[in-house]
Amino acid sequence: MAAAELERLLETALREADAVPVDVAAGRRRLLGQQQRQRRHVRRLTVAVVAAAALLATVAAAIVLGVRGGDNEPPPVHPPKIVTLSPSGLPVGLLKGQYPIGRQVGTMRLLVRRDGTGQIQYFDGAHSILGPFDVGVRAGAPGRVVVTYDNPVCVRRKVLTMTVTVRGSTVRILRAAETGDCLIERAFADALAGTVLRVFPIPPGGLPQSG
Amino acid sequence: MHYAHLVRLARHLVDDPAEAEDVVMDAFLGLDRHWSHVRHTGDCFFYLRTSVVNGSRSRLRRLKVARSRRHTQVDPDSEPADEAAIVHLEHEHVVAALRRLPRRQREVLVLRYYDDATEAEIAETLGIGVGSVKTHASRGLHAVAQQLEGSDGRR
Repeated sequence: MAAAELERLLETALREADAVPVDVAAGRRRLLGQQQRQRRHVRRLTVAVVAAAALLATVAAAIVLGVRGGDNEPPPVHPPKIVTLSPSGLPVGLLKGQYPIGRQVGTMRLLVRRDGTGQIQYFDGAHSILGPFDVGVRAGAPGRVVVTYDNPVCVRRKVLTMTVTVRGSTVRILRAAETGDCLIERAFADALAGTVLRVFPIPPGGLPQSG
Repeated sequence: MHYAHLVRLARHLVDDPAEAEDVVMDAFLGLDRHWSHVRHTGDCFFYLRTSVVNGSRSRLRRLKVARSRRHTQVDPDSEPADEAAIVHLEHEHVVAALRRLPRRQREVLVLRYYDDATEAEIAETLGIGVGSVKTHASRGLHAVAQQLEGSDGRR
């Protein structure tokens, strides 16, 4: 059995067990009960610390607003941008962001569709443009996104794993790792940590072939 | 969200659903006790996962589990009714093969293929080197492949 085939089989076999339900509500009740017993002796201290922090935050806000007293115009209020999430947890759309790599500024483009397919392209800020390549974008562990590439040239399907947070139309990459040693260069994955991607509409025809 | 995922992860490591929930509960309580030492909330999942793996190991050692086949009993003489049943049967063989692996190989494969952990993360979780992770993964995959080929031959 080929290694890639065995890996795919392992992934699907392990995930099949996810169909067995987990009683989260019961677990939460049990955890709360044990937490209360554990926390009883520090509850007063916690309340005091929270109250002090709230007071400090209020004073700090009052100082900041006072310093900015010259701003006569209230900040504009924009309605929140409505985004649709793909099954991977990432917003559907074209996710673009820049990242420092060496002395250059690279650009990453990740196109995410509703059906879990997508494209990836990145520019290293100098002269090398990779992609676009057709990829899969799926959810991994909580907060984790896995980019897969189905091509016989790569022994492993998973080519990029990212830990992300999503806030409205902004995606922040907390950490990334290339796991396939094939499509994605390690330097690119290492440089992605801290990158902020913003969501744009998907261009007709997908990502352009260059730049 | 983390709780359900971690319980499912623990199930693959300890075989017993009740024990898996206990392991995860202890992990959350441990996080609660050491909350002041957590530098970033984004690290919580990694802390919990490490606790779950360590807790699962302790449970198995204490219970001396002869890996239960009650979730993976397969009757080699039964005739699958349709393609879905055939796929399910194949998955049961895979999970059974995984549970027969040495502990470390099983942990590495579960973290990699169920939890999508990178080699560096697996190394950090298990407290071993990346090279060891690769070795355990390679040996584990080879052992699973051999077991599957053997079970195919018996069918």
